[in-house]
Amino acid sequence: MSGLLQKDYCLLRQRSRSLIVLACVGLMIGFSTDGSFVVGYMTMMVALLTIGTISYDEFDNGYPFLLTLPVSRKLYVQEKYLFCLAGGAVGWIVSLLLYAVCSVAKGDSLSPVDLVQTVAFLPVFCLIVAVMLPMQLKYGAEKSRIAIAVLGGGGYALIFFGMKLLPRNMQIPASVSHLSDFTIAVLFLVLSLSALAISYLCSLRIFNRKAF
Amino acid sequence: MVSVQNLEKHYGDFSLRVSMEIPRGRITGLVGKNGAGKSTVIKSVLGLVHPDGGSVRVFGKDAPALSPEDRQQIGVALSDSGFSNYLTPGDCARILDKSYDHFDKQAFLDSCSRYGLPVNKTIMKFSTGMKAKLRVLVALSHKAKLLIMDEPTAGMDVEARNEILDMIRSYLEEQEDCSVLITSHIATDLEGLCDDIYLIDRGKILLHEDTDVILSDYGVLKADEQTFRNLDRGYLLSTRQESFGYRCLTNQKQYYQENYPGLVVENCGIDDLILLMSGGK
Repeated sequence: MSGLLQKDYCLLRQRSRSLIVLACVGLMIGFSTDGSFVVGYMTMMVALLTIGTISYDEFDNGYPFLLTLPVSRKLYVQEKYLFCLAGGAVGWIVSLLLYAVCSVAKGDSLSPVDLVQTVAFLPVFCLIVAVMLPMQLKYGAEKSRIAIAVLGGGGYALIFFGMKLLPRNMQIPASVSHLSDFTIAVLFLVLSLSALAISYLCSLRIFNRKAF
Repeated sequence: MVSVQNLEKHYGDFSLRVSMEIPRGRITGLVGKNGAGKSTVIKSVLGLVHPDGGSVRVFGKDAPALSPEDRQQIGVALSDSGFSNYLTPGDCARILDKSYDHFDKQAFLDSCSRYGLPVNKTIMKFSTGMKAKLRVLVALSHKAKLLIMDEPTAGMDVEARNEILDMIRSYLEEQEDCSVLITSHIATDLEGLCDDIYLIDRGKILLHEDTDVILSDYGVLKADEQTFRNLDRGYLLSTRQESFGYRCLTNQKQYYQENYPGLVVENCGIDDLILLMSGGK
């Protein structure tokens, strides 16, 4: 697997200009906005860059050769999840540091609420990886964009019409409204980890069935 | 080392049905026209496509079940697939170093320099010949016991083709028990390299023969209408009608030389074999 990780690192390094631009935009956002938006923005952008390494593997019919290296299909899928999650984690830490530096430079103090907000981006990031990786493996870089747009549109339509169908004065059940922030955070974490596990199994099935 | 038994693969109208063996230390060529099924055989041996029937065994294991450890022993050069064009040979060296136990990084980089491949230039800026050389160098870089090469010389000029064939020959001199499966539709490339040749056409093996036997015993007969009518056709493998008369392939060249003094009998190359076996009646 270390060979595949090295390959993805080399590919990411080829996009060093994008990373520098991303860091500059992050700095601008950090100085010009309040709150932890910069952390969410940078974590998501790094996630998209790491997921984008699949496009490089697919481009110019690269898969057949990659799968002749000393790796199994399972290892390839595992490496993709590991690389994307590790990339996102590094992106999150760097953006958190950036956020802290910007806050200190502006004379703002970091409140515990702000820090909790930044942690909340991690499950969201996991959900993005969980949705995008199997899509990329199944449909490839180009078609997966359409598939994700269809999925996003479908999800939005489902929520929109679902809300229309709900009674106007419906109350949130007391058992839900009384949940503590900590419980909600844990539930969200469990949900995103479950999504990742399901996503991994789907990706494995998709990739094992592929012919090159 | 490789055993293909009744391999079946179907793509629309195309059907592949193949059996072949590659023993240890043997260099086997797979020749045929474009679209004959060579690449499908290669991909099946590498476990890249799922067969519809039959079995493909490599090192005694089913090809799709080859472990990463088994793959350490296989060097591969594919005609249409390699490292990403956004990488450099230097990147490839780093990746291979992390992937293979027996990869010699310095030797690989030295070979890149020797064959004029800039280590820090992205592959996308390489010519067709340079890309092919890199693919072959990668396949030869980690002391593999089985080399699988799909059209390693495709689309190259004579000089570049000879350079690649020399690279393969030098490797085989060092690794004597290495087995090779190599495909090409430029059959002359394989005449000086292969121990035996499989000829494939429309998904079927038409012929399997030692290269020496092809070059010594096989011949092409050229006969006009009258001569062809009186010809013993018992040893003709294929016949093709042409403007001057008939062009026939035989595996008993000497018989016709001795018994038909006026008959034009030419030596047979693998290109003739492909032309007459896959196009004749």
